[in-house]
Amino acid sequence: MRSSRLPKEKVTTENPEQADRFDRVLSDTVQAIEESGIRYVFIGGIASSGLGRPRSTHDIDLFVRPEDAEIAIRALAKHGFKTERTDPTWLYKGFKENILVDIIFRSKGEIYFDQEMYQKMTVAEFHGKRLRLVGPEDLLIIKAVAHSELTPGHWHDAIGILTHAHLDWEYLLKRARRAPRRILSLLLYAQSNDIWVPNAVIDELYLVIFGRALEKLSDKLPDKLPEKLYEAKKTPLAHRAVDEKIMMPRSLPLSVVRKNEAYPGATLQYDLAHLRERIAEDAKTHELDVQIEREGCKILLKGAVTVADRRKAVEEIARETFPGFAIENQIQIVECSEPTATEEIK
Amino acid sequence: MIRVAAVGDVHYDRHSRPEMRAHFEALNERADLFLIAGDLTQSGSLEEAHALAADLVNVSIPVVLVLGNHDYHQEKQSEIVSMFKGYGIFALEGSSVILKVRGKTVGVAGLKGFGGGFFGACATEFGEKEMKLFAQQPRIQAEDLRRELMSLKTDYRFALLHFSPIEETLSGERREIYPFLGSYLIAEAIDSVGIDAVFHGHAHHGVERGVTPGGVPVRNVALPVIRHSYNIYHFDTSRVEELRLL
Repeated sequence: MRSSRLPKEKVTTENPEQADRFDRVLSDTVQAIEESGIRYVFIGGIASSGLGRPRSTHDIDLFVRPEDAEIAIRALAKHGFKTERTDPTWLYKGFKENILVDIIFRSKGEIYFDQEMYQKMTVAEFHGKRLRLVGPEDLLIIKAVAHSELTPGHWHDAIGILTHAHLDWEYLLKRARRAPRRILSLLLYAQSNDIWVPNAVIDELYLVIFGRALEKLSDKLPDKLPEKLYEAKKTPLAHRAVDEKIMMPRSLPLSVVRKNEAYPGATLQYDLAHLRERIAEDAKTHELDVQIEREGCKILLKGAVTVADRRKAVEEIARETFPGFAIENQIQIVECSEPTATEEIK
Repeated sequence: MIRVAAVGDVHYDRHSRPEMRAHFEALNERADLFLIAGDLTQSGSLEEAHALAADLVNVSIPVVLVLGNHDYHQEKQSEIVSMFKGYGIFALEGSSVILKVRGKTVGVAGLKGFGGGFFGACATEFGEKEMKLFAQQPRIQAEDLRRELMSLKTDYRFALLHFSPIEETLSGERREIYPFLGSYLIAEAIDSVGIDAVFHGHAHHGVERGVTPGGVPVRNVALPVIRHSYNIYHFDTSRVEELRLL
């Protein structure tokens, strides 16, 4: 997810000095942030170890709301951390005793620490301390979305969560809508490695993306989970904080995934196509040279037009059509000068 | 030698553009002929076409133009053509003009052209009547162009189009929309005659230079491609002259 400037010291049992130092800085971090009173959760290596496969970690990753990032970094500074505002769009850093604390306020794929994520927070033990960790479903999504060629560890962290944590599949489906293709590929990959994922969840995600006439989901879910699998998924590291739900409901109500529209993924694709038509047909624009792309809740307008008024008119139509979305207007105005060169055609 | 200035896709709205007007006027010194390859207007209104005509008033070299798909939007194409003719501008719609420049005769055949597609991926006159109508268009246009080019017994011969006759100058556009960007039938008509060059526009994301299978230079002069108010091309010896020399 990020690269630290510090040498990557892995905290392992082989080096007790380092492990102690890590735990000390972790305690200081918790104290500082708790005192500041902001909402936060641990993500990254600590959460992955707590919720998924045990693994070593070399830094401490906190996820906060963008409006709380400044408070968080000041709280660390107050507790003797050296701090830097590394990137105002997503990351601040604190350092102490050669241990790095990342204050992350936007994760890859436009993921923010929102109300739902806060409510799904969990508490688990890490190095003998009880810590507030991001919920396993959200961690799985963060990890799967962050995965890239250079950071394959994220993918395997996500697989580790599938193997070890109790997942609220209904919630996962709801949250997976911001990256349905990525999550669907992860779940299929997991199944290919004999990790149990309900077929109904895969089916549902497939529908979100592609849509088709479907049978009732409840027909496809097993009435009961195989007892053994359920047991195998329990690990001493992961405990749900409060009112632990039965994680596998007997049926997944479709209404959760499809509150407003029949096929949210597909509807959006159609809406984007219609926006393009509108921009071509509307008398204010008649512009055929605009490309429309979507990134999460953001609509990107690209291309080139000849006058500034038309650039603005295109943006207005996009805003009318997609009221809930951020519109980023990257349309350029074609500048033309008198040519200096000529071409000899023979 | 003759000097040809060309641009396409100027997409005028109702307003005159002072910088374009100044650039156009500079052509009096730099070129012998000015070709405009369609999409003169944004929405096909007479008012928009007037704004362009007004910016061309002080251009003293011959101006030859064709309409583009945008100029058809309000179905005012006949009025637009008449209006330009009223200004002494040669507006071609399946027709041609013969000009005398620098002691040479120059013939320009012009028409809008149409979609239809290219080798192995084109519309055919089969099935629904809408499909037949679509596929007929490039055939009709290719026939008109061939007829006009054949009639030109001039020293230099050019074709002026809006849609592309070849795929090469579309490179950069999405392949899925190639059938809406041009037709190989137009290139076939051009190659059956053999001329000095073809100018077209329409493909804003394409590239400037290409050549027909028969070796005729093609220039996509869409303004977003050339990023100038026009480009200027010099033609030394015409194809006809070359043949005479052989």
